[in-house]
Amino acid sequence: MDTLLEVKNLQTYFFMAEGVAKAVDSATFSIQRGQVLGVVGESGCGKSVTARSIMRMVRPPGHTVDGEILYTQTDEAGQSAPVDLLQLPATGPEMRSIRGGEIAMIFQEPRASLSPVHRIGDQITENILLHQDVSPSEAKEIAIEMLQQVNIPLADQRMNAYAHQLSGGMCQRVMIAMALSCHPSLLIADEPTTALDVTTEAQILELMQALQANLNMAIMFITHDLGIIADMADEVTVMYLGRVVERGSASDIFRDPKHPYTTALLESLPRMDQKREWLQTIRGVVPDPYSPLNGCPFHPRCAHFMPGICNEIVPQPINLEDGREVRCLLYTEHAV
Amino acid sequence: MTATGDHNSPSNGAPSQVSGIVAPSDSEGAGRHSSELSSPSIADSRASKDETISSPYERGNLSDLLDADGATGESRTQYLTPRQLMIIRFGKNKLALLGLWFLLLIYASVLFAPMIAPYDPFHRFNKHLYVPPREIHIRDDAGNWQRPFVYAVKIETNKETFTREFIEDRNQRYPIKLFVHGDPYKLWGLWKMDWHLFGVENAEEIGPIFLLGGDKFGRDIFGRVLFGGRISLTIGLFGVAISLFIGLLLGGLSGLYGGTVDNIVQRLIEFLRSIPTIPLWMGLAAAMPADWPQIRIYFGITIILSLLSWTTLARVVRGKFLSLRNEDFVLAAQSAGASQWYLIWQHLVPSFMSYVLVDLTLAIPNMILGETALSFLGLGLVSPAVSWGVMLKDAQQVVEIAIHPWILWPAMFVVVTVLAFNFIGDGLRDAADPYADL
Amino acid sequence: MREYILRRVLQLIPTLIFISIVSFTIIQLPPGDYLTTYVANLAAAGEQLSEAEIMALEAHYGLNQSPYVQYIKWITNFVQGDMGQSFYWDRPVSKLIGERLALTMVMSFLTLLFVYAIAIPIGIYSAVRQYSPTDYAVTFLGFIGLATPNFLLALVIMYIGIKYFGASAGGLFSEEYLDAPWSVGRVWDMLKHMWLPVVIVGTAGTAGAIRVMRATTLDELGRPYVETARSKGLREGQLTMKYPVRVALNPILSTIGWQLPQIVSGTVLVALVLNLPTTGPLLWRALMSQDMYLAASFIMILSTLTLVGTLLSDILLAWIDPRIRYGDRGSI
Ligand SMILES: Nc1ncnc2c1ncn2[C@@H]1O[C@H](COP(=O)(O)OP(=O)(O)O)[C@@H](O)[C@H]1O
Ligand SMILES: [Mg+2]
Repeated sequence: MDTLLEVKNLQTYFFMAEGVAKAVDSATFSIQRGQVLGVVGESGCGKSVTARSIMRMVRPPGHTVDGEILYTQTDEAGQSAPVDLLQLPATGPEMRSIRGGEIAMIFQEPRASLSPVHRIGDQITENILLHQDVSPSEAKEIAIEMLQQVNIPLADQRMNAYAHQLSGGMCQRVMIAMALSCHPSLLIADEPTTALDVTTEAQILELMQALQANLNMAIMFITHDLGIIADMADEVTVMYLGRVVERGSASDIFRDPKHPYTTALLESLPRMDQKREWLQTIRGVVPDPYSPLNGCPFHPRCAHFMPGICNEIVPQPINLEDGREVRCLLYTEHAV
Repeated sequence: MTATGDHNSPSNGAPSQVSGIVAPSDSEGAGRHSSELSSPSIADSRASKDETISSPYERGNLSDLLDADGATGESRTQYLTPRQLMIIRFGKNKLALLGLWFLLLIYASVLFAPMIAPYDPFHRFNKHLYVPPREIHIRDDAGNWQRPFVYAVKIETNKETFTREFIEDRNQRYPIKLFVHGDPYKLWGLWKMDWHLFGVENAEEIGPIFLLGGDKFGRDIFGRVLFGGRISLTIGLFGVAISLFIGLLLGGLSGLYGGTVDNIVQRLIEFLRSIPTIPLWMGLAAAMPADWPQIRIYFGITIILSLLSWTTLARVVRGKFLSLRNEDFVLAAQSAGASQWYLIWQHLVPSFMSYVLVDLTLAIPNMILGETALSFLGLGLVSPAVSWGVMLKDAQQVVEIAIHPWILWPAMFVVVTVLAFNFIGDGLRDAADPYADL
Repeated sequence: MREYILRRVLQLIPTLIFISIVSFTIIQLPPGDYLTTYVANLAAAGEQLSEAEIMALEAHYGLNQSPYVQYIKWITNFVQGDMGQSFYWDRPVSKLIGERLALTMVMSFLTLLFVYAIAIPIGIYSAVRQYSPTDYAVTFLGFIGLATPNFLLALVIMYIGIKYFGASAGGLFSEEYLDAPWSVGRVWDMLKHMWLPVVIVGTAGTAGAIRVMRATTLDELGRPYVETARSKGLREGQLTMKYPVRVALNPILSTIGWQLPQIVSGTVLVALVLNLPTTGPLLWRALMSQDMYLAASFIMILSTLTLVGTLLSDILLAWIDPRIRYGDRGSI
């Protein structure tokens, strides 16, 4: 496999007055070139912080304290070599040329993600001018082309519009156009459809799939909706409280979830074939990040909680057959 | 699609979500991360079960936020009412508390002014005009600690400049006594008394104990500041009461009826906000007949000041009325047949009371400054009335300040009082609306 | 845009009418009419007006008619430049007002520039470096600045000037230019004197504007569109200026609307203390001596000019903020 991005033991902490929130706590996963990685987990599990860590956009009081983010950069000659993004200064020129140029990102709130006082055309052109060696008029042409690619009607007129004149779905299309305008090899999409209605969501997802296939770009698709993952992703990474608790191919995970958390997430999906009065939820809520739990962080909510074990021993990642990985004591010698 | 986890179906059939919640401990994070998935589930358990309730944080409405805070952040807020929350947050603001204590102190001092001031505000020490602040000593010349005392002052005429100078006579020591008899007064117009908190004996001879110096007639600036505070500090309160009345009335009508009424009130507000207040105040104040009794001028000034300061309040009230008119709970109450006035009183008024409070606190200092400015200019109250502005009128001539800088003391009181009100107002605003950063 | 300007100009008309009514009421409020006082004053000065002359004056100002007609007369005369007679100065009001008004306007304008020139960079810095020592210092000074009435500040500065520099800080001109005709030298001399009142009048406004600028910038710094801009790989400083600051400028510029009245108020008061040849002292003297035509004209003109200034700033704002131009001002 051709690995594009490899995240090893990533740790991003927020140093707050209340204590240290370990938003991302030794997360390890990788993304293959041209593939879609789905990252799932409830809100507050550190998905967004992981994405921002990769972009080196974590702002104080957050700091990435440890880990490696190996990004395979391809130079003009076609030679590829991994760089550790964490070794680059976050606001330095190398990182800035990667950010937006090679790794682009789109966000949850499309309208709020666009500047209210700049024309959308100018916002897209800005990105192009930053990363490509073109004249302003050429950049404008590229921008119009991009808007057409994301199926925005009357693209050349829309260039002069402001964000508040567009619908949420349109804004997300603009965001996608902007993100893809420099042909990044990785697109990080942080819950890009959460704020949209269901119909618009379907359209945006369809568009992303089409563009992904066309441009041969990898996507890190963050969501808390397993249904989307099922449609989109090749690989899946399940996060819980800043940790990767399970990863593997999408088909494996949906067919045979290993971690009780994954199982619980899957059970909370509404299904056509089951007639139930209530939808299943996972017991309880994501606990407070400031007071670390002993043992496995999921144990207070786990259906397979083993007293004396799960609340004592911290589980380590275990490699199962066919490249799957799970972080649960059920798969160790501690399980009876 | 947020609905994935929103609909509750505990496998055991009973709505046991609440028992299943791992109560997060006291922290900000608890409120934040629980917003997307957990708060709806709790809301569900309280309200209807099949309705999709988006997170109140996303709707960004204050009353919802406070509601949600009371409900979801189990740890942090324990079902506190918004008002209790506000008090707790306010209590954490050190500057605001400092301001509050200062104001309590100054208002209490003003209330008991005749007792605390060592002399009657009109008592003239004719030999001691412009006497500088009296030094209070606690060590004698030999360096021994003593109970507080003053030296007698001798008056000497400087042979070169022909000005009078006040010189301490190191040979005569007089202890400061507590609860001394002095100028008689009637406390709050009720009780005849003649004792004062502190003083020295034989003041005419050894010099009066003027903590902040004396004015051009040899009157005690400290005592007069306390008496002056009675006017300066209450003008703010009365003025604010009047503007509260106007603001609530016009803002309420404007928000309630909309249409033409709203339009007229809006224009009026815009007008009042866009004209320079000082010239207008000056004009109105000057139009008051000079032969009015002081008490009428006092109320005249109060009304003039409040005529121009009800506008922000009216805006707030109007805005609240408008936004609340369409709130679910109001519609619900209406459809349940609640009368309009009941609704206003029960629902609308509590929901904007905190804003009103903030606005009032920030309006009072403006009134204090307004009175000070007008009286300073000689357009407001005039002697024999005592107010901070009237006292500062003596400081109109810079030459006087240069020779007797202590006549600026009333200004110090104005500034610190205004500062205290501003601290409190800011603290209240932060406490009422922690989500707004302003 | 044109429609917006037109709407705003039309809105100005009722406001102006209202101001004129208030101003006229101020003329009318004191007991006795102006002419009685005028005649009495002249008589005291040993000059007798004949019956006919008095009648002519009465007719000119419509004093023998109902207040309503008098108002109409007054406002018609006013618009035509006849603002009545100052009995204190015994000159037409319009002659008295001219230069002083111009000086007031220059001073207000400079103060406005000063307020924004100081407040915007400091507010931005304070927000970007939130909780730094500078931020705390600025916040603290801001509080003091807001709490100190500017006439007091003027007094204190005058006191310091006399005490430590042995110089009086008052006035707008040096001795040699005091009664000189206008020249480049005189303008320069005036500007050299004007910075002090400008700073004094501007202090409170600056303190307020810094607070607004800091708060809005802080607010904007956390907005998603800033993340977007950062994710494009913009340089941090460039990013701050181009996005959050650019957006935060709008609300602060929209406060010109209430800065201007405050500044004009401030110049009136401070001019009195510093004894500047602007409208302040003249207005004060007019009010003290119940010279109501002069006073009301001042109030009328100052208010009108303030309104026009506010209007201009609103148009400027609409020009730079698309959201206002398209009519949803509420969303800012
Ligand atoms: N700006 C911040 N300040 C403090 N803590 C933060 C901040 N952003 C994120 N966190 C912490 O990181 C945790 C994970 O957040 P996030 O990555 O946004 O979750 P999600 O999986 O929903 O995207 C949060 O629960 C919170 O404790
Ligand atoms: Mg997120």
